[in-house]
Amino acid sequence: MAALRDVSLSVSPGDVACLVGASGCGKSTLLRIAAGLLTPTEGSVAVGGDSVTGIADEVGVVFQNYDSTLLQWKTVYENVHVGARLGDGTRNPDEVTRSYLELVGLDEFADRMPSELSGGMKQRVQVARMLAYDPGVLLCDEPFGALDAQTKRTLQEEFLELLREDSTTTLFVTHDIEEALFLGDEVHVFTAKNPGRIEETISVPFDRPRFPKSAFERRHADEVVRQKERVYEVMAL
Amino acid sequence: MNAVPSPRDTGRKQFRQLAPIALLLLLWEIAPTVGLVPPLILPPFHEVLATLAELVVSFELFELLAVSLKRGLVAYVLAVGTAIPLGVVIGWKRTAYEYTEVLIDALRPLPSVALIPIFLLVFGPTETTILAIIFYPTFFYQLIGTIYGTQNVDQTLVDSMNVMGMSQRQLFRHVFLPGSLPGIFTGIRQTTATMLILVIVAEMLLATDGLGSFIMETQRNFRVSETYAGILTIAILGYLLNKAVVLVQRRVLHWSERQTM
Repeated sequence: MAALRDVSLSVSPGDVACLVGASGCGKSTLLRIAAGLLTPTEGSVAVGGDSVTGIADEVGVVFQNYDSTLLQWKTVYENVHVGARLGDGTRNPDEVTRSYLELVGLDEFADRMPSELSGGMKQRVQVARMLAYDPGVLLCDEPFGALDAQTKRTLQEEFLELLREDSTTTLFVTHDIEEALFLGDEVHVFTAKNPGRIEETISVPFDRPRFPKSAFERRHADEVVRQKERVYEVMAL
Repeated sequence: MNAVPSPRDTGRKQFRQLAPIALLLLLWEIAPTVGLVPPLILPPFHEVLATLAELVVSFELFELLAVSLKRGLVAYVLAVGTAIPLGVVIGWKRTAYEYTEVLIDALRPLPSVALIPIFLLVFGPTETTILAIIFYPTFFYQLIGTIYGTQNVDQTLVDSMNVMGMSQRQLFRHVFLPGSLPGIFTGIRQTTATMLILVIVAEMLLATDGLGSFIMETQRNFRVSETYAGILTIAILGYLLNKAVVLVQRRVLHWSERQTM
């Protein structure tokens, strides 16, 4: 049985493309294919115009489950250092590690073990590791999906800032429509049907900067609600 | 977080732990003294203790211990040293697992004592035979523990390292080897107990030195007090070995929330 059919998607350099849909719609499958972790039975993936089989050098992934993506036996510093070391190697790994730990606010926790951190802090470690790796294309599989509302909000804001600074091309999978509207340049909406397929692509009408989120919400409350309704309609098709 | 136990709680716990042992030793002392058991079968505890003290003073006990521990350790290091790298590879690589799964399941339950005739055929009544008896099950316990430990390494973790282009060698060293340590330690704990049993059995059957041979020989020569002193030593040794492994495990696995105790 096919999980996806007739799906075509391209992300312009520097853009943030969000994939939204109900669970089981195939959005995570599409991300795994883009990452090279799954080989599609049909179809292809291209990065920067070049067709890719397997895992592309340019690609980095942030997973939802922070507990299973960190090396539990290494300190926070060492975990981020792994990303810096596996990166393109043009920068000094120690400096890179220190600067990103500072950026995500974990410089004081450099010597702690992951098991000593809260969920939000662990996810920050994963984000810092990915930034230290410095991918050309960033793939995010519901990175804030397992966090409490407060932590999620903080990390969304920080994430938005980081994206704006680096203007990294990003594919962001989420089931949270507001998150997609807040972070994305475009939102690709999956239907709940099987096999999964992108039913509609919405160009997000909000200007940047969208930071802080409270100001964004005040300014665009009505439009966010309208867009949300529309996405829900498409998802239900 | 656990509340810190008060000194009184600790005292109570220690009492509860030690009382049954004290009671057992008391029974041991009384039973032969009042004639419940002939002292030829069970000498009173104080007599065995005196014998043990003599064995310590004459240094004989340390010689016995050194011989037995050396045998155990050599076989143990050989078994653990080969089983851990092999187990990591089998647990990691699907094909390796498929090739070996049935083979391991078939060889593992075979008691190594059943192989003694074969070991004797091949190696003769030598030190090698003794080591082989200890090595065989120790190796398999450690192998199984390591395989399970490696298979427990999270696929998402492997994915996230693969995405960053980690090499196979780095994966082995930084992901699969440390990731399988909880399983490896489960294996080590089972292995330690088995190792001690087999050292004693092998020495009883094939050696003229070591603790196993000592308890057998003294019993044959009606020096039962010494037999009991030997058994007591083995009991204490087993207890201490287990404690030592747990201690090392806590150290090495300090990062792990779910230590298999």
